[in-house]
Amino acid sequence: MDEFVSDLLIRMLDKGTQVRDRFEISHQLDMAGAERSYASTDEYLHFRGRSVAKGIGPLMDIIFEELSAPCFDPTQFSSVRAQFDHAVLRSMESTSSMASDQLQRMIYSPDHPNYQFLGSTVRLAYSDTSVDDLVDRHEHVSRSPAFVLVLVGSIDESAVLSALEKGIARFADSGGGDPITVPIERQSTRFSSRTRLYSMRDKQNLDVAAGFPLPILRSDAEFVPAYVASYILGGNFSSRLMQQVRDERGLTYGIRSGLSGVTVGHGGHFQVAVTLSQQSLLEGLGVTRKVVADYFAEGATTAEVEQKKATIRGSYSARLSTTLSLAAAIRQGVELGYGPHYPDTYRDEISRVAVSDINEAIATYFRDVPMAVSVAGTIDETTAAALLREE
Amino acid sequence: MSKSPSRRKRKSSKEVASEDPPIGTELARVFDFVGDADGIEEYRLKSNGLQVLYMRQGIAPVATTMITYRVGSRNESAGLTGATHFLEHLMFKGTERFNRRRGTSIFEVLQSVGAQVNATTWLDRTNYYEMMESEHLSLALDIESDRMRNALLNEEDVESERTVILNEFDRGENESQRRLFHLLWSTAFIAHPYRHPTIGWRSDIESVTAADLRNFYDTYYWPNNATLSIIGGVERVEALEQVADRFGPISSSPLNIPDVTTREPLQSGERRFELNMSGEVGSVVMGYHTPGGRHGDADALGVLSMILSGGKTSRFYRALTDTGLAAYAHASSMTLRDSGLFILIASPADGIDNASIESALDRELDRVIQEGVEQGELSLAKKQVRTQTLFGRDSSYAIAAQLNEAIATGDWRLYAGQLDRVEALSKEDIDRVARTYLAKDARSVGYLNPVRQGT
Repeated sequence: MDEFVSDLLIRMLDKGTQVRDRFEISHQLDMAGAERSYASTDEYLHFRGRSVAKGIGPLMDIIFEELSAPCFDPTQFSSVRAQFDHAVLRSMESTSSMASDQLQRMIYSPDHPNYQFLGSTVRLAYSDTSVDDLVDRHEHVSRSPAFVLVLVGSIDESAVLSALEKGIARFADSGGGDPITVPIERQSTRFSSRTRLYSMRDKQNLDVAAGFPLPILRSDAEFVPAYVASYILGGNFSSRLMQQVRDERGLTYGIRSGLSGVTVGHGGHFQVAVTLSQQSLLEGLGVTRKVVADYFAEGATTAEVEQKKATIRGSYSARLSTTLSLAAAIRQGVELGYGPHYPDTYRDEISRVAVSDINEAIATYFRDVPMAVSVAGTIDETTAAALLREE
Repeated sequence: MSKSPSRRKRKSSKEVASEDPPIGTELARVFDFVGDADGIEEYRLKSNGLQVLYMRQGIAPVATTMITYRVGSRNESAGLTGATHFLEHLMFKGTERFNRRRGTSIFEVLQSVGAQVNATTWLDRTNYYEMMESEHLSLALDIESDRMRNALLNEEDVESERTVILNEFDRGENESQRRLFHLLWSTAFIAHPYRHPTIGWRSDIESVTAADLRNFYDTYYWPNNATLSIIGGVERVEALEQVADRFGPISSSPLNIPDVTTREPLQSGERRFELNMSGEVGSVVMGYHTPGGRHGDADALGVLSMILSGGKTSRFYRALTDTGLAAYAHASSMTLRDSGLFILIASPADGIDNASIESALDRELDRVIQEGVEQGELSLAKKQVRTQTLFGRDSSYAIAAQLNEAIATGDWRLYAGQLDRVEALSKEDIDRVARTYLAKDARSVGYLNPVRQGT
């Protein structure tokens, strides 16, 4: 349940430090023309900030202060926990979240980082987390020497260096710690059933998430071919699924496929997500299954591969036109071990993939793999029986 | 009596160019240069009245084209609600040159060069955009100019897209917050078409015909009812030459574009509604009538919303969120072409009921009406607006998107002068709009009551 502690930890970082309270910090950020936020994954704690050019010094000061000396005020902790509880309750009203979460319970074991616990379990875990848990986690995280900082934009180097020097000094007393080691876990498959229904009231529109585990790491040579393979199937409006299920047959507003949860430390899964009205559920699911099965049986064509490679390269360039997205792409490259020039090399990496690589990936990782199917929404008995018969 | 400024003045020093940009005599024969502001240049195609906005932006070879049609759900009548949105979907079914049957669907052609492509429909406008590497500008313009007057709109496509849109509708009906907002607008407005949802009522989506949509298209999709924005790493002359080449041959509309003349009658008396829906969390929503986005009070209302709910120093955060009463509380002023709404929404924390949240919101509103705002709050809110506006203009797409909303409101120059206008606001301006528009007897209040039945 470490992830719950990390979730609460990052939400406490902007709630005041041992030096200043949350209001003073917020006021200073606003006056500096800056903002920042924190996030966590099972491998990293991320922060991202942006500011007008003159605000970079104050922004970095605040981030380092919050990272090194959060106050963990018990009253604020109760408030954060209550807000988190509210967010969990809201997500439990979403058919797409519930379908996707259930799928991840079907294909991962509970000790896998991608496993999604039931909302009730999550709420209980948050309520059981204490301030002491956060203090312990913070002490562990702040001792880590692994630290990547990416800055993009009109940068005042002296302001940055000064803030950096002060910021690093805040961590000096910790004496460093063990490097982050991520246990490599390629596969954690446990199909408890092939089709599972998550019944919700007042949700006449249904969401379906279907998929299977993918024993590939982000750093494996097979990752990019597998990624392009899933993109051809359902990566955008001109993909096979959108063309055949939405455009030709009008069965859904949205359908997509992709790889999810794959990192350098562990494998993830392939997933198809589709939204369907009551009257289209069975037909929509049937057509989706057929499009997926046909594609995995036939493989991709040369024309499809070339077209989607151009799409991925071009859209990557377009996406990197903001400072924030460029900084995130550089950081990702460093985390993956490809270095800071990753935004330049990524397009080459896509270009080098051949149709044979993609079809080999399909044959190895996608073809004839049984899919777990998760359906969430208001489901009547007849439909439920029909869905379960289709297994 | 409150002082209520009329239309805001244009600033000649900053917003209007002292000399025309160098476009050469050939292009000058085709375009009128209208003016410029904040780096945006405005041109008008002489042949058909198409408004063109151009801005050289960024160092990356990336550009965004966005065409904004001045038609939204505001232009729909009873029985045809959702027509604007339906038409937006059909525009992707293409033309004789660009369609799926020929293997040249709009998505396929544009996405194969890496363009990010989509469209949106809202109350006052419909926009279509492409963000791509600059070298593909001509392709985007070719498609947008072709579908401006040559959309297929055939019956077969209407039928297949009808079920897609009904699924989109059903999906929205799952969401309690979306239904709550639809109820707010249909309660606050009894005459003006803002009262119906942009996606339309289900029965209208089910019954609209290809002929209805063709008529709608033939009424509104003309160059003189559109603005083409080209923002990014593309040269002015190159961009304008391509615009002239693609859009120049299209004629202007044979008839005047119909205007919307319905005005919402003054509301006298609070209106209340409730939505009971299975779920776990409640919400309170309030809507207060405001003037249109071109009115002189629009910016002051925006700053007031920032003082109420912009970040941790805001009044709502301190009084509702930080105290554990609410999970969140938010205020926003809708900037629209016609009179819109100042909206508050808050969701109670576990163990708190909607009525307590309404009381807490009322306390804060009463305080701001009776005591006004503090000078320090105003200064901070101005900074926040400035920062958020600048952050919101950090890419060619983001700039085009902000322009799109200003165009929808009725004047793209609202984009250009915004920061100066906000800077000029005084405490008295904010106090006045709070007193003028936040009147309880002209508001609508709604509760989302969660019906907790388990799963």
